[in-house]
Amino acid sequence: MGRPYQFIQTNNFTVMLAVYLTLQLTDQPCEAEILSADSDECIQIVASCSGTTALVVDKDAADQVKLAADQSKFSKLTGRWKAETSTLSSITEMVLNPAYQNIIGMGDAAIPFILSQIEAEGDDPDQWFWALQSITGVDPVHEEDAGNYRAMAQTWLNWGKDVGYEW
Amino acid sequence: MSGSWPPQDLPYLTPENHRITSRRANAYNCIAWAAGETYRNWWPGPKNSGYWPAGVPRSVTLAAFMQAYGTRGFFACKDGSLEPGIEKIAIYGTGDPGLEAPTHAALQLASGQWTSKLGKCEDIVHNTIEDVNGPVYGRVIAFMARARADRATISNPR
Repeated sequence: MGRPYQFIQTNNFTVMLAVYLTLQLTDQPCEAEILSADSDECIQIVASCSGTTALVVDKDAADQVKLAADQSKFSKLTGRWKAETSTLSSITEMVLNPAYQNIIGMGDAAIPFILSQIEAEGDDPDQWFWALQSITGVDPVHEEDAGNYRAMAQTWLNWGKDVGYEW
Repeated sequence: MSGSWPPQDLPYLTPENHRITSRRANAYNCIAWAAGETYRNWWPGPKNSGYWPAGVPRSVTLAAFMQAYGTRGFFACKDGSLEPGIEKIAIYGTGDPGLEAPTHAALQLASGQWTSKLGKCEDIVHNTIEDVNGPVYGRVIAFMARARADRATISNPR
């Protein structure tokens, strides 16, 4: 792992550069996250895998970095979950998989990524419904559609649009 | 053609003892496949996570699974031997003897071979029930049977 890079700057470019270097210089996932908010305008972001630190004075930039980090985290967890559960028929074991539980642990931030993933999976959606149900606390699926992933996916996509999610 | 499953999950499958009969699909699982359905996943999870026959306990126990298949006309039988006019299923499970949790189901074909849907992976026809034993599905813990009809797989009825 390369030496930690320290960035103290105030613009989006620097923040994105910090994350880019993190991704380029290490083969580990970028776990950029907001660690502290010293004031309304000063937010510390740490890309934890390389120690890359960016001190940001721009909340929009911080949001962008967090979004990118969440997207990266979701993609990696999704890949792990699918690889580790491909032969399971047990929905119980499928959703107790640690990667799936980590996706649930992302909370509301995961919802647009899940909805986007469901849409991308088209006619053969995976079991994302337990995660959506766990995170949101709602279940819009009609009882007669239980287990019918294609129908469940459409119901959840409609729900997402109805409550204002964009993906 | 090789399947998309991790070989370590199904260590007894060899090119000689099985053939792949479908593409990968999330739409149905082995429990549904053995019951003749290809448009939904059967599982006794919390409400709406998977289909489970009405009135059957939503618990991952052999008793609940046998009751679920009972709603489709299956009854307990002693083994997986081929009997004319009889269609059998094998229920697999892992865990301590007598306390196994069901993991998988396979359906016997009229030829005496078995067919399994491997999780989210492909359907296969395999020669013996032991071919899909392993760390994921365990081993057969029960057999059920019903009169063999001209089998029609149920795709989405809607």
